[in-house]
Amino acid sequence: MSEIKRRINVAEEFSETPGPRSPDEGQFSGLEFLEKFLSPRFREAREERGKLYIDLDGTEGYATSFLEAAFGGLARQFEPEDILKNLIMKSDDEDYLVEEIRKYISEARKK
Amino acid sequence: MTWLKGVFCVLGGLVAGFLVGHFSRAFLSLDLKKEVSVADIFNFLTAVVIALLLQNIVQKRYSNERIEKDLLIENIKEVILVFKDTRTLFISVYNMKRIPLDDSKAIMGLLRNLANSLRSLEVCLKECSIEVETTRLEELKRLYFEYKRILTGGTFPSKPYSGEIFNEEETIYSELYSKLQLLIFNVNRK
Repeated sequence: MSEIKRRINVAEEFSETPGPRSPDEGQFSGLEFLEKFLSPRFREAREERGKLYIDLDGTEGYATSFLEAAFGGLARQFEPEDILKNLIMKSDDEDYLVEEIRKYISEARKK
Repeated sequence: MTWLKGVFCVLGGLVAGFLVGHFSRAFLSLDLKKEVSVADIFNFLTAVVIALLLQNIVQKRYSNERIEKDLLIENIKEVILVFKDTRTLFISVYNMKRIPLDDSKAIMGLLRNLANSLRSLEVCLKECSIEVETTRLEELKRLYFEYKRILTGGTFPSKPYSGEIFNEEETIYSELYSKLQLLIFNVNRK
């Protein structure tokens, strides 16, 4: 079983107020998060045959537009099965958030 | 005047017993033995003890189930309350034709509350002894995800809510609301 090689704390490293889908719609967008944090760290973790750990707590909440852009976007760059196996998410603040994100990852390529 | 009712009940019982005894002896030619054996007394006492125990067990079980049902119904009502608040805010934001920053945060906060109250309902349903089909809860979760997608998906929060979103919200709201009400009926009938 591979171990955690990279970590992201959204509230501390990115923003406590995650925003809309794309940068032209507003600050701290899902696409910005994908390009600056999610995608590079997931790639690094996979290159080292490890997992990426994301702490989703401490923010004011995530809009579907943000989550779809970030995690759905990641699933369009990497294999969804590989992401689901190697992404560990923590959300104590909001129940069902992890389940919701997994849904976007699974459904990203169906659209 | 409950004591008066009690007195009348006892008197009524005595009169009825006397009448039944009198008529059964007169018309059915029944014979009552006057002597009672120890075994009869033992049988009678055992029957009384069993009856009392059974009554106690049934009463306790009924009382426990009622407590659990009430707790579950409270939880469902809590979900409905948060759900209604979310809708009220959504309609007010829709009418503004823009989404102010504070309101977008408030919508996400309410959706978070909705998810968390649904989760506590899920935990209660799993822990209690009242069996509710898991498909009912799965359906509620599916509708919650759909509701969140309508309110915060697409161009949220950069563009105002469109008429199309308003109609979609109306549909999912009605569906989710009626499913929650049906769940109350379902829990209460168990």
